Amino acid sequence: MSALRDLDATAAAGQPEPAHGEVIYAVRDLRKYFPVRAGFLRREAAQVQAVDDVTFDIHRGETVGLVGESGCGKTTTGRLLLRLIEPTSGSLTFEGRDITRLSFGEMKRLRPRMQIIFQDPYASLNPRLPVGDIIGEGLRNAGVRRHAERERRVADMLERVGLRKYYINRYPHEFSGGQRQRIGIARALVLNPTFIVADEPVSALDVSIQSQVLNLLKDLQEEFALTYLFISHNLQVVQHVSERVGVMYLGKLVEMAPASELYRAPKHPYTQALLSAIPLADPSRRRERIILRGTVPSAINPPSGCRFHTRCPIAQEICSVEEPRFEPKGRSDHLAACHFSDTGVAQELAEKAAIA
Amino acid sequence: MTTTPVILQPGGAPAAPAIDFETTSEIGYYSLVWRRFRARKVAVAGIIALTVLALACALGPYIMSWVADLRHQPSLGGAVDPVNAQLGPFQQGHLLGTDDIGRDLLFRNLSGGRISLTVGGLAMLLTIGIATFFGALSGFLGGIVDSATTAIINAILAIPSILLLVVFAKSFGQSIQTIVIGIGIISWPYTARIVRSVVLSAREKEFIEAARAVGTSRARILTRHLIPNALGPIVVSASLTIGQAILLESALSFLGQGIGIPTATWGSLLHDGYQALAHPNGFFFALWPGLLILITVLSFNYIGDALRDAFDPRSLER
Repeated sequence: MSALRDLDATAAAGQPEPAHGEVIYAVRDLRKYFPVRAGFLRREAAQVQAVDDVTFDIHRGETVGLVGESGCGKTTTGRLLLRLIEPTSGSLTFEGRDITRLSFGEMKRLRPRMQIIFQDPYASLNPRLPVGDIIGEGLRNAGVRRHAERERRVADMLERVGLRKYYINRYPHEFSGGQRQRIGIARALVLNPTFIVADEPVSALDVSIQSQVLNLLKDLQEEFALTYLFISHNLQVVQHVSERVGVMYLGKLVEMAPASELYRAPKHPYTQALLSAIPLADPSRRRERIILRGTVPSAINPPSGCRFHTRCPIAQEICSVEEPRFEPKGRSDHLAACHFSDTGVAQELAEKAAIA
Repeated sequence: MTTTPVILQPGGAPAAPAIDFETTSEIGYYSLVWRRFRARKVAVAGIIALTVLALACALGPYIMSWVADLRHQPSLGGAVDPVNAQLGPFQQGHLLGTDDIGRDLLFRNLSGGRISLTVGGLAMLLTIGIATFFGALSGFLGGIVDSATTAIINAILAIPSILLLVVFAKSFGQSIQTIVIGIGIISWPYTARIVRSVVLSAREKEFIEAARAVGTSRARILTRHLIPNALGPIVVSASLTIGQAILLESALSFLGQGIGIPTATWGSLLHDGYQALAHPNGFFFALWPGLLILITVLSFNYIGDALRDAFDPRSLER
């Protein structure tokens, strides 16, 4: 709960550059446990703690990056924010309104305000529908009943994302990966949203296409005053696009800070290990990698205390017993969950890892 | 997949063309499927064979009774000579010969084909209808609906189908309706399992999540996204089901439990021919319906196979 107070204090104190507006999305103690069913009666045998007590704010107009390795819960977090998955507990406040328990009908009215761009441009477009129907589906749900009106708006949006108007009658299989991703972006934007979850939007694309799509997202953000939650496992992409970055490990948010601060002075040993793994373009600069022992533990039975203690290079006794609080370290907008982030050992690690 | 070459400018970002792929022609999904299907010559031959057969069965008997009384009904008063009544092919103007009481076999086989093809077609429609409904709901809703449907499917599959059909025909009358419904009941589980599995896997695709994200209702997701994606397997299954239904009807008639005398079906003709095998011309009596069943079922199977390949998403994606 103290983390919540600190966050609110941070918000009240005003955000550092670039100045952004009010909190558009407040996530508090968000938790999602998936049941693991087993046996003849499909009884709940265990729970996967996919997302556990995640708390953060997103401000209007900013891009918040969310990084972490596969299975850390970042994608689940994105789905939870859009209520595509029901949270186990916690609260979601979007534009000042608690949406945690809204009904299907109420959510339907809200959906145009919050949209998602998916990772896989091949799986995210229905192969049986022409592009016009794929992009126009949301408009139809939002009450744009006239076909001609939908077509006009879809065609406009196709041009906005760099495609031709006459693609409207074509099918997904006729497009390349980059074009498909543009279709996915158009589907989200045609509804005129304010908040967009971009779930690894460029991970499935060729490197040559990635920058095009990233630039498109950047341009659209300015044009439509969008707020992004940018989910990715690519630390460099996240650094490039985000103003603030959150790092997740095994369902927990372990660190969150302005991008420049996070990459310059990472506080959490896990963040430090991640950053030290980024290859540098400068061959004259030698760096020591922080190699983590073992693999990620199971989210069904996560380690006690700090979930990272089994692999942490600076772990002490207390780490396996007491869970560290997610609290400000050094400055009000740099939060981390670590007992020892202020000690000398951690500072040393941070210097090794810093890339900015 | 081809990618546009990236021109790196000194000190700048890659020059990004607005369109990253050359224009392609406008082809719908189903025209692609048709194009791939057309390439399979056996399947096209099957379609031609079935069309000819269906037209012959539909129109043949009319034309024949109009041109001449080729039915060669023996006069009721005269004694039927059992040896000389059964003619071989081309004898006395009977193209395929006659049966043991002198009826023209071409006429009998064509009018029998009407019944067999009708039963096959109707049973297929019923099967696909039931299977799509229960299969899609079961895969989409999961939980108790899925468990219940799966239990019913397993129960039906555990009963020998011919036995069930015989009992069903005996209990409710040996009419076309009864036999169509009976075949529908024993055939739908196979297709339902296919539809269920396709819906089950399509349900987890990102485009379903995308539809939910834009506020599409569950009913519309099922009808607009899931069932169209199961259409390929459904069509394949439909084609194979007709063949199976015709075989089932023939088997039932061969056992003497099919549609009653004097209506001919391929199965009952096969049965009569089998009884007449001792006669020198009996071979042909049994040959014709067997050949027609073979051609029909083989055609439907080849068409089904070709459809399966044509619908295969892996062959459609680049």
